[in-house]
Formats: sequence, C-alpha cells, structure tokens
Amino acid sequence: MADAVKIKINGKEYEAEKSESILQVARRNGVYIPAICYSDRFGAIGACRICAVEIVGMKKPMLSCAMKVKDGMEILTDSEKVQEFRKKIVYEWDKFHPLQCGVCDKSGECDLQDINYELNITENPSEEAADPLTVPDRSIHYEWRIIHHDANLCIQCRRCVTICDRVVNFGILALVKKDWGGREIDTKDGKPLDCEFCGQCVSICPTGAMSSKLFKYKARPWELEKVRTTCQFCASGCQMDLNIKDNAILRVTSEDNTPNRANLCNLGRFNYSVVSIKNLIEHPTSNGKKVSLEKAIKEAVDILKSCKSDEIAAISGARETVEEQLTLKLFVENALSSKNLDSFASTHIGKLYRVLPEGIEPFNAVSDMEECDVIFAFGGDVANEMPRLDWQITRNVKLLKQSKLITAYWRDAKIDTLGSVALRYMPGEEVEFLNSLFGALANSLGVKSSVKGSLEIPEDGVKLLSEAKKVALIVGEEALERPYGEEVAKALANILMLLREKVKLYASSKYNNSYGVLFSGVADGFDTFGRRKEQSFSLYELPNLVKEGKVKSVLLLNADLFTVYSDEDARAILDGASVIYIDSYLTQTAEHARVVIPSAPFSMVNGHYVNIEGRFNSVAKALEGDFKPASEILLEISNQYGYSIPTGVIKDAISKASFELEGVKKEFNNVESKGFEFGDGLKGVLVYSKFRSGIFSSFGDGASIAMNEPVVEVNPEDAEENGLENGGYATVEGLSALKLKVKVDEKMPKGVISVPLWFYGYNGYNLSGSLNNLFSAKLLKGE
Amino acid sequence: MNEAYVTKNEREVILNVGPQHPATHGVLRYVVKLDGERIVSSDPQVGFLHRGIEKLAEYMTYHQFNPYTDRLDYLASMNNNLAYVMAVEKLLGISDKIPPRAQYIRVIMAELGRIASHLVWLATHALDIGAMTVFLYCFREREYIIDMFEMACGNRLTYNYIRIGGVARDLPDGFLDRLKEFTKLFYGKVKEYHQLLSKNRIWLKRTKGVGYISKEDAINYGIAGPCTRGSGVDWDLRRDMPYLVYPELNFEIPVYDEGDVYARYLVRMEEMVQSNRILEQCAENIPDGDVMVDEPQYVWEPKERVMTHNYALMKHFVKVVKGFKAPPGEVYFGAENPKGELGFYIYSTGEGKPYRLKIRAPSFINISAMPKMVEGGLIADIISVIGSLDFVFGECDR
Repeated sequence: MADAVKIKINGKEYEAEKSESILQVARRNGVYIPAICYSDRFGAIGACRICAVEIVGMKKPMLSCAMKVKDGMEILTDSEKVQEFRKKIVYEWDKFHPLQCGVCDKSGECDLQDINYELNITENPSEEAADPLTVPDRSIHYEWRIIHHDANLCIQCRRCVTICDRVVNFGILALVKKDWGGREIDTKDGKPLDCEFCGQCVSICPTGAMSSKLFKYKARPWELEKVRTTCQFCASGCQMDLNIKDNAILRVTSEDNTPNRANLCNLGRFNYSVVSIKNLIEHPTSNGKKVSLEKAIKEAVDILKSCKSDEIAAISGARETVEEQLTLKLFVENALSSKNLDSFASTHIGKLYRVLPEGIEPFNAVSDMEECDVIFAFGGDVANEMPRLDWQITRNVKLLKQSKLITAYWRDAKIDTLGSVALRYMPGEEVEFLNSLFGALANSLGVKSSVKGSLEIPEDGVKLLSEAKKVALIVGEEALERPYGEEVAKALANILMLLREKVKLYASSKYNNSYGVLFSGVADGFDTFGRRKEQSFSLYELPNLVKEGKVKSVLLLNADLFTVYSDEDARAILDGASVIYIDSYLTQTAEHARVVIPSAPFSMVNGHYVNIEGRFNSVAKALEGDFKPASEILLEISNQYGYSIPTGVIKDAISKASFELEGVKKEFNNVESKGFEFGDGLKGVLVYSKFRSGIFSSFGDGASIAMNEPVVEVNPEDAEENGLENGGYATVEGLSALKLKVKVDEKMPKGVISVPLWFYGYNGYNLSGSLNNLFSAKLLKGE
Repeated sequence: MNEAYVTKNEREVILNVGPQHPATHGVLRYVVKLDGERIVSSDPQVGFLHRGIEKLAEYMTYHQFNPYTDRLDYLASMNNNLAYVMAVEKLLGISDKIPPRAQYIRVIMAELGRIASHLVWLATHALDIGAMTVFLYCFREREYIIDMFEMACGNRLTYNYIRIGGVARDLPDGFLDRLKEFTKLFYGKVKEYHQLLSKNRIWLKRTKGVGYISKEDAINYGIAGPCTRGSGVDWDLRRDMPYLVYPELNFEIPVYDEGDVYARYLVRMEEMVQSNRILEQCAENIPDGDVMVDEPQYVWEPKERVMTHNYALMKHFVKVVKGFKAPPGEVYFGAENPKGELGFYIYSTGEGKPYRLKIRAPSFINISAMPKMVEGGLIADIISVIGSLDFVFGECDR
C-alpha cells in the first residue's frame, strides 16, 4: 500500500489507505459503526449523521462515512459523547414517526427499529416536548404504480434519491419542499411516479416509507423463506432470493454480497407473478383437447416416428436450463439422428460467437468492467436490453468516475445522459459504420488494412478508443438481430481483432440462457462445450422448409414461435407441420400446437443458467407443483422412441462447467457493406423494452403494470407532419398494420420510428417480417 | 460339548442389552461381554436420540432456544431452563439484577423439579428391581408437583416457565398454599418409601455392594451430582458455587461413602427431604415484587407495554425477528440438576444468535462411568446400576 497510514480505533491500531473513509476501515476490520444512509451500493451521502464518531482532539463528532483517514488519527466509535449525539438524531426521527410497527410491512427488517433497539431508546424527550397539533400532514402516494410511498414513515436519509440517481441513473426522486413547510421525498416534477419501476428505492429504504404495492400486507418478513436463485428474464444472471410463503413467491429480494450488488430491475424484482398458475399450461393437450401426460408423450413419439430424420426440426427457446438443453441435444442428434437443431440464441449472440476471433476472451465478469477506462457501447440501447450492464456503466462513469463512455447507436439513449462521446448512424448503416470506424481506428493505430467505410467518424471517439488501455465493448442485441446480422458480427470481429487483448467483450441478450445454448451446442454452428461445428440448420430457414414440405414435424422446447416469427410465418409452421410444444407458459404457440406438454417452470426446477459472464448460475426449485421438468419429459419421449439418453454425460458436462470455445484464426474480414433498403416512408425499427423479455414476461404483474401497452416513439417533427399527439394513437404500417399509442420523443432522429417487441397481442414482426427488425413504415393517425 | 471345542476365549459371549429394553430408560444399547453370568467388560452405545440440539441453537435466537432445553432432561424441564437462562444472563451481565421474588420462584421450581425427577427415578428404579408398589406411591406424589407446574405454566410435560431475566409471570393465586400443603405432607411420604425399601432384604441384596465406584474414580470420570455424593465426594454446586438465593437457605448435602447403588439410593432419598426443607423456607420467605428484570434490550416486556408504547413495540420486533444482541464473549454456567451438573457454554460473537452452544450433559458423563461400575459384577447388576445412575436420553444424546 503506497498511501498506507496507521489509525487507532477504540485504542486498537489498524492499517488503512489514505483514500479510505473511517467507516470503510472500521467495517473491513469488523468494528461496528451504525450507518443508515451509507450503503456499499453507492457510497456515502452524509444525510443521516448516525455514523458520527469521536476523533480525539476534535470537539464535534465527525461523520465516519465521509471523513477520510489521516495518519495517527484516534477514533472512538462508542464514546458517551457519540452515543448522546446519535440518540438526539434518533429522537428527531422518532418524533412524528407513526405508531405503525404492528401493521407496517417493514417491521422486523427495519433499520429504524434496529437503531432504536441498539441505542436502547425507551423515552423520547423530543417527542414529549412536541405539540401533537404540529404533526405535519405529509403525503401518502396512493396514486403511484407498483411503488407505494408514505412520507410519514420517511426519515429523509436520501437513500432512495441517491440510488435512483447514482445507481439507476434515472434520478426521478428528490427532496421537495411541500406546503406544510417541510420537505419530503417526491418526484422532481410532482407528477405520479413514471420511471423504470426497478424498485431499487424499495430495496434500499431503511424504513417502510418506500414499499412494494405488490407485496403489501401479504406477509411479515420473518415468515418468508428465502431461496437463492438466478433471474429468468435476461442473460445478466442476477442472483436473487425468492421469498416464499405457502408455496407462492411473494416478493423478490437480493443481498449486498451478490455479484449484482443487490441491484435488480423491474422484471427481476416485480415480475415474479409470471409463474403463478393462471399463466401456466396446466394440462397436456393434443389437437386442442385435454389428454393425459402419457397419451401426449405417446402421441409425440408417434409423430416423431412417422417422420424421416431430416423431416424433423427442433428449436430451443434459450430459456430452459442447461440440463434440459443437453437432453434435447442428445435426443435430437442421437435418437432422431437429425441435424436440424437450432435455438433463438442464433438470432443474435450465435452470429457473433461463430466469428469470434482467436485471442479474444469470450466471456468477462461484469464487475471487471471497472478495469476499463473506455466503455464502447454499440448497436443497442443497453438500458433496455440489459439493465445490469447499464448500471455497471453508470457505476464506472458516474459513481467511480473512472471510465469514458462512447456510444454508437442511431439515437440518444439513456446511457448518453451520463455524458458520452456520441457516434451516430442511421438504422441500416451498422456495417457501413463499423467498417468506417475500423478504417479510422486502423489508421490511427497504424495498422494496414483494406477495410474502409464511407461514413465520417468523429475524431474524439477514435482518439479515445485508440488511446484506451482497456476497452469494454458492449454489443447490443438489436444490431445483431438485423437481417444482415452476420455481416455486423464480422465487422465487429474486425474491430475486436484490432483491439485484441485490450478489449473486454459483453454481448447482451434478452434470453436468460442463450449462453447456455452455446455451451450445450443447441445453437447452429456449435457443439457441446461451445466447440465449433459445421452449420447445418438455421431457424431462419424453418418457415420456408415447412412451406415446402421438407420439414414435417417440429419439436419446440420453450420456443414460442411468436417471439421471433411474424404471425403469418408462425401460423404457417403451426399449421403446416406437426408441432410438439414443451413449455410452461400459456403462449400463443401453446394454443395452436398439435401436442402441448407442460413442463416445470422456473422456480420449480433445479438446474443451471449460463450468463453473459460465462458463469454457471444455479437455479433452485423453490415451489412445489405437479409439473415435470422438461428434461424428464424428453427422457420419457426418448425412452419410448427407443433410445435411452445417457444422463451421466449431462452431469459430467455440467460439472465441468467450462467452455471450449475456440476463436477463429483469420485475417481481417472483408465485409460486404450490406444494409437495408427502406422505402420512401419512415425508417421503422423494432426495439426492446426494459419491461419485456420474451412474450411470456407480459403475463407478470410487475411488467404489465409498469407498461401495459407498447408505444411507438416518434420524432416531434414527424409527429407534427402526420398529425400525431403524444399519448394519442396511430396506426403503424409496415408489411401489415398495428395500432399503437404514440410517444413523441425529442431524442428520436427525424424520419425514424421505433416499436417495442414482445407485447402480448402486438407482434412487431408482423410489420417487418420474421427475424428482422427493420421495416419501412407509414404512420396514420388513428382513433 | 467337546472340551477342546470350548476354548477359553469362546467362553465369552457378547450380549446386546437394548436399545429396545425396558430397563434402559430410553434407547441405550449396552454391549456386554459375559463369562457365564459375570461381566468381563461392557460398552454403552449412545446417540439413538440425537437431534443436534447444540447445532440447532446456532440458528436460533437466545429466546427461541429456551423451549428446546425442555427436551433435554424432560423429567426436570424447568431445571434445564434455569441452567440455560442463567448462562445467558451471565453472558448479558444481568445475573445480579434478577429481582428477589423471581429468584425465589426459580428456586421453588428447581427444587420441585428435583423432587419430581427423583420420584420418577425411585419409581422406575424400584420397578426394575421388582418393587411394584413403590412405583404407584411415587407417581401419586409426583402428580401433586405436576399439578403445581400446570398451575404456573399450563403444561404437564415440557413445563417452560423460566425466562431470560426472570420468570414468565407471577405465581398464580393459591400456588403457595398448594406448595405449603405439599411440603407438610411430603416428609411422611418419604418415610413410606423408606419403609417399603430401605430395609427390604431383596432390595438390600440387589443394591448393597453392587455397582461400586471409588471416590477417585468418580472424580476421574467427572461424574456429578448424587452419583458422586454416593462415593464420598462432598460437592454440590448449590452450596459450593452458589447461585440464586441458595446461600440464604438452610439445607444439608447428604454424602455417603460406600460408593454402591444403595449409597446413591440413600443420597437421593435424603436429597428429597432436603429439597422439601428448601421449599418450606421459600414458601415462608418469598418476598413481593417484580418477577422480571428491567432490561428492555434483552427481556420480553409486558404485552400491555408493547401494545401501547412505540419504543417497546419497536424493540419487541427486533427481539423477535433478529434476537437481542448479546455482548461478544464466552461464558459457562453450571447448575446443580437432579442428574448432576448441567452446564451451558455459550460463545457469542455479538450477533443475535450464539456462535456456539455446548451442553455439559450429566447423563452422558454418568453413563461413561458405567462400565467401571458393572465390571466383574453379575449381568443382573446392570439393571440396578442403570437405575442408580438415573439418566435420561433426551439429555445424554441431545
């Protein structure tokens, strides 16, 4: 330690670094100092003052969270003076605090209770002196959605304000002056809360002031059994605790020691009700009729037996556990001897990892992004695609102030509010942009290459990138899902090769186990352990193969066809082939498939998900139910088909839990500058919403209350031209038409509109065609 | 049988007594090596009733663990409560703040428990050896005591009344009258037992000179309570490491030097009389006043206060959900229980739950001396030795 100093706490000597605060040194050494507003998630605020300590030689108690250590400092954490000081603060907090512990949800895990207990407060002189008629009339925000705020319970520690600002980077909350003379927490504009609804403020609130409406009055904290598991809504792999009572998930929490630092987004924290029974397939069906499980399995076997092996295709939805994926892989390749196996992961990260150059680390821990001095986010709105990455960027840029941010996207997005070097292109120009960037970067690094593009790249961006010591390259799912996604991946591979060991790669994915798909070799071009393989079958071909009669039977594992195909194509597959559908959720595919077999949903299976970091996170069975895991169903189908799947192989693979993904040896790719031909109209883009991940996520309360219908985002000028108003409705015309609510957004570039995906009943691919997220659009004013 | 076939070694037979055996007072598997009817060596195997109580304690708040101690020596639940609670109070540093009335009540409960436990001992011990009548007599008197326990706490088994900081509530009306009635009556009853057994020829033959253990061995094995006092060890925690109000009370510690089953029998018989004396004094001298110490950080406050005072309510929630924060440190407290010294060792790291809790269970340690006592004796001696050691498996296997 270069800046090592020695300090004394309560008479005992400790070593510390100059940059550390007293509180950090004390906590590291197990010396207890109470603190309400301080949290490791965002650092010191200095609002609660309870962490005050006595420093010998100083008259007043000093705040240990803010005060940095100095050599020879002598600190007393528990002296009488300090205790008196702390007591006075707590007296003020308690003064008008309602007598509601008996009915308050927070009781039992309330920091205010704890501090009262700790200081052993039995009487409050401040309360006795106060006139009961002066009790301020603070507001209770019944009108807010999902989050309930009762200002009477608030002790104004400003934790919620800080987490909303410094961690979530939304900053909607503030201490606002009110009519009664004092200040209370409210939205900055005074309107009802309209935010990301991530509930970070609920999770950090020391009292019951911020609480979840979905959890209110459901249970007391000590009645809940906590089961640690992995989130099922995206590939971040956030660790969370399902709080269980009476075989139901009542809320979701997370601990400070998790890799995600207790941060959860709206889907993770509030959308747990997707696994409630009303959203699940309860009975196996055949041709729409209820049948027994045995009969459904027998019918599935009969269908499979009646087809030749190359007439069968299987698709995984990249949501099931690795165990289930491996079972599928062994069944399809060994029992059916079919090569027609693919997964939804092929629509995005599959393309990138197929061309990943040699020498690039394929997976990086999200927290390692802190080593990077430059973050380059390309091709997607990170905040919508993967909140965990968004918050890690926020931590780097806003909280730790150690990284510079470059964004390359077709619009200003949420992360740009952090202050970024903005590189912009129009939708459809991704490859051209990457080629141009490559040219400029190669030029600045002195690498010779013939790859060039025609776009002008601002110099400050190129300079930052070429001078960076470590670059975090974040690849958006959206860019890879373009119809020319493979070219985008190749152009990215060029840039990766250029930056080599300087780069840390993060490719976002909305499918929770899309990386597991690469591991289990279900995705096209991958074999088990992520080894490379010849490409043999792509889900892009499936609608045509079915229409041509080349594929007669389709086995779907959690693959809701409407997630990636347009209604027309999905119906063509469902009608043209005998579809065997194994899934938990009551999706549209389940309504039309020939044979439907319900499998155990998330929270009812044990297994593993692989996240963006390549980490195998375990998923724990938390609820009891009459569902069989998909792996058991597949085993049964396989047994009846006449092949017994070696389950030992699956166990071995899981216990190995490491990828053997080799990079491609290659010179720089000469990427053909493919784009998308828009017509005369507006440029339509399908984007992701932070409130949806797969259509099934619409079923949960958290997501549907936060955003119950999709909005088309339009530039103000375009809106005016087409006579549209914010909040009104418009008909968006692409290949077909959708009637959507309009949101006028200044950040949208002129001539571009965006439509979010995966809202139940609003299939965006109807506008653009299957597996494509660009379309030329027209806007018509609708009623 | 062929002489050559029966070699010297094969004279010895291994016999399993238990774990299902009426005289084992629980689930003791006693493996004995016999030469004819003589015991060559023996080995007690315990653990059939193991529930991991010490480990359970690490996952419970201090208050929560209290009822679990009932399940140790279930014949004297309140004595276990007392030992545990006193250990916790020692850790909290509030031992000397316990109100006098609560201390007296605790002594009353402890001595009633001792008599109740000894009555069960006498009943079963005599029954094992063949004296059926004593069993009925003893259980008749025990019923008196159980009724009193029921008055105080509502339970007839696993009676749990003693709390950290005092006792759960004041004695119910009429309790002391019942107690006085009992103490007056009980001297005569003990005399009846003596008449039935003490000079009974069969009883003497089965107990005198049987199960001998010397004073030195008794100390070396670490056995405690009435078992050691039957071997001439003059040691009783109530007098030698006093707690509660025992120093203010007059009682004697019976000691016999013979070291056999009969001596231990006499010790316990005499102890019942002495306990009765203590009860008499307590019933006379018990003062009025609080029964719970005023330390709201640690003890349960009265329900009325919790429901009407914000700060009491807040603390109540913390105490229930997270447990009170005991100061870091380690303590040991041993109490003189009917079976011997029951000790609780608590290691606290300052959390709401103990980091480690170790129980010194007298039954377990007393059993360890059993092979020494029966060695060279007859197989039938096992039964009288088991009776004289008076162990309970809830405590031994814990």
